[in-house]
Amino acid sequence: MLENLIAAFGLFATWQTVLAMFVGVAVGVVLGAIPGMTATMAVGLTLPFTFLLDPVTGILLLLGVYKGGIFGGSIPAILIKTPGTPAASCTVLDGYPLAQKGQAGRALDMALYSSCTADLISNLSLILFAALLAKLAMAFGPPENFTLIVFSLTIIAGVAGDDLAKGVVAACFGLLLATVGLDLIFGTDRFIFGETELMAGLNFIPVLIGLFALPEIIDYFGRRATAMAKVTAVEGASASFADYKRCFKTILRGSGIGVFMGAIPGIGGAPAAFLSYSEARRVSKNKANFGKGELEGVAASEAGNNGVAGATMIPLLALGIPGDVITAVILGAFMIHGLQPGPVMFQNNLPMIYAIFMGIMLSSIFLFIIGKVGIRAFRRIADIPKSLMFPMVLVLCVFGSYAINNTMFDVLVMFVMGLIGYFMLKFDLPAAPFLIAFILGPILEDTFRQSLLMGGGSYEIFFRSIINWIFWGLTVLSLALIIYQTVFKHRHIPSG
Amino acid sequence: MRQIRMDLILGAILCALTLFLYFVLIPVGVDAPDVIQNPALSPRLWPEIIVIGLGLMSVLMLVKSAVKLRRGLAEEPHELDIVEQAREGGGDVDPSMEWQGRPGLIKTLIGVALLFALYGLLQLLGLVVASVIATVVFAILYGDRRWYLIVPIAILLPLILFAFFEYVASVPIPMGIFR
Repeated sequence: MLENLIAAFGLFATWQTVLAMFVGVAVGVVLGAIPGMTATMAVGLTLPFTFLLDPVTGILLLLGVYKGGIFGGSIPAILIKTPGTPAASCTVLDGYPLAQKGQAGRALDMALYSSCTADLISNLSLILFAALLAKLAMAFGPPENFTLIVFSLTIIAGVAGDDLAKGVVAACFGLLLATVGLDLIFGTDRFIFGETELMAGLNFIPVLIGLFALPEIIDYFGRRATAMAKVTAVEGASASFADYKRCFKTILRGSGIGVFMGAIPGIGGAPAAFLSYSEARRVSKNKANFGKGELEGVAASEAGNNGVAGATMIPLLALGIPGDVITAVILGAFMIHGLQPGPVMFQNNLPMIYAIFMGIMLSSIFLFIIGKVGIRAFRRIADIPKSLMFPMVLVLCVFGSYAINNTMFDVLVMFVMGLIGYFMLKFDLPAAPFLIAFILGPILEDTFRQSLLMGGGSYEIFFRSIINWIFWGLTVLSLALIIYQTVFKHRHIPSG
Repeated sequence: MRQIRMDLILGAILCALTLFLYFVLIPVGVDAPDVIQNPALSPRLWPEIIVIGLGLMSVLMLVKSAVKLRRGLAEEPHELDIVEQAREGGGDVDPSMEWQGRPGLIKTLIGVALLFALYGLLQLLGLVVASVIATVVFAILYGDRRWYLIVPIAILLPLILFAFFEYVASVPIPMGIFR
């Protein structure tokens, strides 16, 4: 244990790693504060820049961008009623009214304090639970991994939007696109059509960038800003220690909700933020003030969505399953560096895991410093007009896509995916299940075929152990719940 | 109502696409060995399973939308409280972005065409010069006329990225006819 910790410290405590984390958090806060730039886009656009870094540094840079982005989204949410990230839409509810009352500084401070507290709790839960889960996962073979991924996909498809069918359709497209390339067992062509560049399949980075960055750029061609949103000044007193103490229970509750939901693959920050907010409102003595500028409301939503950040790494590190879209990107980063997160990594590469743990704890401190120093500086970022921002993002996308494999083909893939993503946007097909299914698809198919090989072609192998039965049961339960919610919600829609 | 019609169209498109995928694209696009001991290991099986799932969802979507349309169900939400309202509109609450209708559609088509034209330009002129041109053109297409901002951004950003990738990350950046 001690040797592993020392080795981990050696990996982590380099000036490059510390600087990368600081820069990552700062970049994340800045990009997250720009309306139209999601934390996913920020992480996706940063990914190509990690190629020249060693794995620990690269992954901590991305984690810094992720955490900074989640907090950064609250800045425009409070100042101009425009969430920088979807998870910050809940922060608008009380953050903006507070800003209108001249208490923007107080709201921003509370957002920062709750974000950092929740982030710390989330990191601790990652450190405590990931190793435990990884130990349990050592008992997993291909059949168990297959059922686990099926379960993950049902949640992802179900929670990614209002419509289960659309979520599943998007996931099916992701799975199908992941089959492009050479068949792993027979080495035959699948949807290559003579194009040698497709033999290795589609690289997920241009798919990611095309799907998440380009549709907004394309959509904006047909829109016009009717009025520039006025950015509220960051004025008024800061949040006091008494404010923090008053909201502490709410922050703890929100962090717990965030950790729980973050640890379940596929849920993500936004549902956690809304659940935390709803619970805070339900039990609060100032219930009537929620929605009109209640500081507890800001604390609850930010605690919920930041509580997710560290916890989404639990399924990623322990099982190799991404907790949300951003950790799916981080999974891609691991793969690019030739690493496969999961229980085997806990066995063979423990120093790297510990180094990541050390790094994420430090990133919480950086988040506090950068947030405190930068809040008043970053308010101007919300002013950046999309007419200038989107061409800049496009250029970043082009360079980033090219840099992966030094081939223009990836840039073409990005443009084509952008077009597909635009149609998905217009038809309300969610992109998140598409991307996660695209990343998990090959693993799903591999475990499927490996299991059949193990079982001599019999499907009974997928029911061989108690773990299989548990995941099948959870899958059925999750599907039933999603269908029930869909039917129940539709019954409330009045006819006519 | 508009959303229901869009869903109906989407369902119909997906059903047609499913049939095309299953009966045309998979047989043509996926090579399978002539003899496979276990059909469950065929390279075609996995894509076929996915397409069947896609087909089932497409039919579900089609039927759901057709039923809603027939009953004349409006997409009016039931009374939502503030949390549900925010969740429904989450991530897209920008009050200043308005779709421009037909002119917007034309501009979008032009924008998409320009994106693919950009791809050609990237190959001909290289990433740096093509990016400079693209930044200026797209900023204008988006309605911005502040040349004092557009020109410096158009020139500086590609140069900074070029310098980073070429000299720091050792990724040779294509310069097209300028190399």
